[in-house]
Amino acid sequence: MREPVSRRGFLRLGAAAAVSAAGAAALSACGGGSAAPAAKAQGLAITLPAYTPLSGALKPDLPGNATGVPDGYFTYPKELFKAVAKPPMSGGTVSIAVQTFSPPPPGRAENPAWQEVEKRLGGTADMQPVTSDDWPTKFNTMVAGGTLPDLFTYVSTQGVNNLPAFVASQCTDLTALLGGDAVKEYPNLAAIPQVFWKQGIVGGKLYGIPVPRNMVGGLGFYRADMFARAGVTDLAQVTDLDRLFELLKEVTRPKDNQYGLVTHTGGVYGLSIFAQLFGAPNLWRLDNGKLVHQIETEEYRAAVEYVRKLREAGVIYPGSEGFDGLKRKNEFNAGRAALVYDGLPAYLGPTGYLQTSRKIDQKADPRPMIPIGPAAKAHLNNIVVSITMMKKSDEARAKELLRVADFFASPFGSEEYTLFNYGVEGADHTRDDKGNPVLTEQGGRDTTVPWKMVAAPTQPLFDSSSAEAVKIMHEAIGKMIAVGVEDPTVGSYSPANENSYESLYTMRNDRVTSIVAGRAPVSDLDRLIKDWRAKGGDKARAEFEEALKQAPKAG
Amino acid sequence: MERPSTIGLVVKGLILLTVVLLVAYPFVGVIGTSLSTESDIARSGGFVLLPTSPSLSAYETVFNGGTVTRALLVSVLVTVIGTAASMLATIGMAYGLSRREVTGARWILLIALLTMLFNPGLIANFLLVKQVGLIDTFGALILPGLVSAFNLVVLRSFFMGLPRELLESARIDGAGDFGILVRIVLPLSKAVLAVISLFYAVGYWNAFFNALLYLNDSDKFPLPLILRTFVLQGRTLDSLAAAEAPAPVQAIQMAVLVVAIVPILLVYPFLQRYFTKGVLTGAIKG
Repeated sequence: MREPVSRRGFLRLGAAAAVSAAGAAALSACGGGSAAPAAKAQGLAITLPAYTPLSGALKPDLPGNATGVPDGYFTYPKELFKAVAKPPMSGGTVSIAVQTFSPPPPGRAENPAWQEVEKRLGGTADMQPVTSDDWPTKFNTMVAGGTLPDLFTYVSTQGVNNLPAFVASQCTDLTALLGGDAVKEYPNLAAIPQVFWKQGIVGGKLYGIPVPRNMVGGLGFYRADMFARAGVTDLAQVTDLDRLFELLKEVTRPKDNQYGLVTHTGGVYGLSIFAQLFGAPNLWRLDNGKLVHQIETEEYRAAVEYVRKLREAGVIYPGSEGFDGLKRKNEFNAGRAALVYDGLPAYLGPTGYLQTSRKIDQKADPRPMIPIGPAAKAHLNNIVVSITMMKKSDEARAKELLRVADFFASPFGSEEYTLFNYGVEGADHTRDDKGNPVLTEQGGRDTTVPWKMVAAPTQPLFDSSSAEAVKIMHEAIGKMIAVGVEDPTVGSYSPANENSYESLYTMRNDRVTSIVAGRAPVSDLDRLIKDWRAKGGDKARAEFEEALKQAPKAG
Repeated sequence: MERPSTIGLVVKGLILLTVVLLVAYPFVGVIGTSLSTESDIARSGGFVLLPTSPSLSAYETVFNGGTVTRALLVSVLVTVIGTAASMLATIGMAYGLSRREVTGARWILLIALLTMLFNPGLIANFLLVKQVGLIDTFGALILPGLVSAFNLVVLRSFFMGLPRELLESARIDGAGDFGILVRIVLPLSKAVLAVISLFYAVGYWNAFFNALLYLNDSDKFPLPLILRTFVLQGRTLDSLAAAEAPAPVQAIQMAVLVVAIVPILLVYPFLQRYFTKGVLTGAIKG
């Protein structure tokens, strides 16, 4: 459930007031007087941390490549290596607040994995895990109450107003500490590609350490077994979107309670899949220095019309627009829908689509949807889980905290990574006959401490239960990245975008949902574009264009 | 009195049955789902009334963890201590304010009433709790809402409704204010005290927001906050479910829900007979 915008707005205001009070001294030096400085559009003008891959640590079963296809592993490395030579801290405490997606973990007294993390850290880690739904409330009270911890998650859609003023007064500027070759002091952080670091830039400076996810968010998942029953044994046989329409119609059998597509509340009937298939831009497209927003393009309009037709043809699971995420997942897993939009990380692992659907039906064959047809693109979006910021600290402390972040960014196959993800061998996990770590019951609980939300390495593909799934994922990501499109505004800052993003996003989602649901005509899209431009869209565009002009070649 | 007709009885019966079904349906569903297996849940679309092969695995997962059991203990302690402290403070204040001879009583009451109309807001509250050093302590769960203005008004009205003659005769017999309160007023107010205790207890039992704001150490989290985590984050209980035969995510959510509902549900019937009487008394005589 999302927090109502009005309350969040109120919290943001409170936090902003505290920021301007706390930062008044620091800010007045910039000539802004007692008020927070007026935020300006900012381009990418800094040297990003130099990407330095860790050399030859492991041999993947399926090697990745420089475009961002991750390494794939069928089994967990038997020989673990040490990623951090000596403890990053020498006594003392580091306080951390991050989002968690798990239930609260057992405290350090009953948690051998936590104790081991602190032993290797060389200090005490005071970790505050906050559920993602409660994050805005907690974060804004921490800002307003002046109780920000040393390292904390920053989520842009749940953050503060006037981000540049906030970071300038409350956070450590990491530009000089990490930019260029300086990052080599922290080898695990240096192994994070630059595309992820761009997400940590605020107002033209580096303030955030990225927690990487995949390079692509994906186009959802399809049931290969259901498509096969309709005569399509390989997605390559579906050459264009008309054929896909026919196919989705063929698998739809309302009598058997089986549909082409299942959606959920706020999912705009899976529009994201089709926007990518039609080749709509990843939020913005840069045409000769001019930005065009996704909703202004013909491709987006075509996708909206297509999904509307799917609904009219009865292909979309009736009533699924009222489902929550879990229900949507259940229906897809139970074989009642052939296509679903969900992020790629939802595929592998014990609660991923693959394993859960096979628990219900051995023959279930869910696979990541891949780009179909000549125009299809894959949006390189959603590439970080979040970014981690550092409370304002002096240089020595900042370096110590960066060493802490480097520790948590230890790569796959290292002793540290194994500790964060599988706990202590014996108590928290055992090794199966192939050497894969298997969590014990205690391990399942102990490893819910969200260490991997503080900092993390790039994510490899690994699922000990199915080499086939790793291959499928590896191949699918390769195909997506081959037609991947970046959002050209990433790394640039527009105050108008920051302030109106949420309201514009909600307006767009609501009105497009109405169009697809048949409550409004397709022509309403023109009115939506007009409103979107008037309510901040045009201003954001102008600011982004200015920002992009400022630093066209940086990065 | 005229006997109700058969049709009237049937209609009334049907209406009552419908209401009971409307209330019982989600509750039975919660219990049914908490006892279900993954395939049951998937087949029924996430809401199981009668599981085909009931399993206690969700409850095992919940209670083995230690997190829920500790949170349960925290909640019980916060509820018991909090209710006792709140009752003590509310009774003391209500009695004081109910005596006409207390100087400034009207003003104090007005200030208390103002808190019902104007909330100081989240951030002001947070700063106050931080200033008095209650962050990350159990005190932060109890002290910010120690006296509820609503309960105070109900109790004060009740105390004011007691016959003055009774209190005066006690005074003539040599009782002081404390003696009057303990020996005369409180024994006569059992109904309203039971009701207000229940209000406080339910409030403390269900409160998660103060815990969310003021507690950083997850060892101190009360049950409602844990419940909230389970229900909201259920979709990605990845690590928890990583053990060999994981209980279904929804079953775990529902099991925690049952654990959270049952204790307060058990208290309710014992206090219910005081319930209507107590509230009405306070309201009508106020």
